[in-house]
Amino acid sequence: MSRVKDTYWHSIAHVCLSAGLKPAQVARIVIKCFPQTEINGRHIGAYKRRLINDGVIDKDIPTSGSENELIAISQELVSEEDRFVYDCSVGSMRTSLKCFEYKLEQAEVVVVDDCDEWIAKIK
Amino acid sequence: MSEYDRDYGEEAVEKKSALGIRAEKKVDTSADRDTIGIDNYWGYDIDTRTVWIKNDRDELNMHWMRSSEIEVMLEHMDEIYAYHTGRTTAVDDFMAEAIDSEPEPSAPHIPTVMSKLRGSVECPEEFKFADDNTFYTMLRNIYRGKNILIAGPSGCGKSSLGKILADITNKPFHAFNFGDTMNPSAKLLGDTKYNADKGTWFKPSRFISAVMDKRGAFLMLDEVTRDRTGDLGNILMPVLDGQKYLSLDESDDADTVQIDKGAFFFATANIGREYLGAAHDLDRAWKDRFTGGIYELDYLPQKKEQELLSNRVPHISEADAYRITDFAQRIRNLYKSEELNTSVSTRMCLSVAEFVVDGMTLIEALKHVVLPFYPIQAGDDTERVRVLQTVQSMGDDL
Repeated sequence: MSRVKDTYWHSIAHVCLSAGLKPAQVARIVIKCFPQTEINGRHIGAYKRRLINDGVIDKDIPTSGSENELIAISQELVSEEDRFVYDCSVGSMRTSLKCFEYKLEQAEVVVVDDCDEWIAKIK
Repeated sequence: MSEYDRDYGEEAVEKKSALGIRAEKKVDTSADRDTIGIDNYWGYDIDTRTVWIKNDRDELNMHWMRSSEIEVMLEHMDEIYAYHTGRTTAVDDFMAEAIDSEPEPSAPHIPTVMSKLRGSVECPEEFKFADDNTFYTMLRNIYRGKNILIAGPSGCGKSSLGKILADITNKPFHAFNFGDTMNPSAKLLGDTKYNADKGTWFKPSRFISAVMDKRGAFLMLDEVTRDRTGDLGNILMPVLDGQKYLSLDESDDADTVQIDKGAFFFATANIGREYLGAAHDLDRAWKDRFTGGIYELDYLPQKKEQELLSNRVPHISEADAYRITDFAQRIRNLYKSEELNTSVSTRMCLSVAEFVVDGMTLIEALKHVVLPFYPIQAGDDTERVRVLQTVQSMGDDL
């Protein structure tokens, strides 16, 4: 199995980087497409370095499109598969957090008080 | 000036300096091999990427250089020359040892659904199964619309897993327990109702609205082995396979419900001889419809089960969580070795933990929760004694 990390935003980031946009601009575009994503310019920068190292794109690419144009293109480029993976990613974060919320809630509840209240009722 | 430079002049010097190599013994024979004329000398031609070595028997050993070899070969020509004496395949032999074979161009990296899921989706805290791969292949099956069947012992977390997966994929969750079925067709299709104002009317089932949900519902068919008549399974046959429809009655012009293409079926089953109220296996054709695979889940590994107890029963001490799961593991080992007819489930462990938190001693809680699963039948208390021995063997730990 490949060790290369793939994510749902790679395909649109690839297109935007190939159009010569800077990582920060690409991050803004990715957030437009996937509003709850946690990625930022650093993630995009790392991906750009990977693409350069792999010889997929050149280091200095002249800009061939505006940010707004690429937002429109990228939104159309988001595939059903990427959308599903993104939804799972958000769902997974939410579910994991729920687990911690549960712990916190449980820690705050004073069990004895609940019991006393319940015993008073049945009396 | 060397013999080489004298014979071939500035052209050779340019070639040498272009490559930045030493060329004291070089003889360029590109024009005519006979011009070597000197024993034990070698030459090359960059344009045709060819190298020659002439040995002490005046035999020419010619080698075509691959582009990746040129610099390495020319750097090592003196060694090759020393090595080749008396050998007709000197260049090939040397290069085979000196240079790794030219790497095959690597295939372009193509992301897959699984690789994207692995790269993007964290395996949630609640998902306590030992192998992450189970989680990612299940997500893949949901994406591809491949139904999955989870078989495993009671209380190992099959139904919880369904809920977690529905939460993660953000699909509307609908659970249908086959065990509580009174009328199979009413459960899956609907039933007629009477109303004084409207008269008799047909009320579609919850199942119908779920399969038609345009958002692509996550339908959990829980405890499918509890359908001992097989009626539910038969009605669902065309729903689960490629036909994807549900017929509301048996007439030729019956209304049919088209299953939404995003609907996903997640079935759970207890398969085993100890589940007396359930069928002991599933129909082959029914199993065949779970194209995403049949996952055979077992109880959690002890460490994961201990984590689960701590998460679900936050006031349980770490030591008690360990003791409860340790006891469960011992009983499961006895079950595997067929000394006991049934095992201790994770659900029972949770129950014991809750009793302990509410003030029962661990030994009392274990006896209270576990012993009824090992009844004394016709005076035979062998299994119960075995469980009690296990409790006692934990000694001071309890």
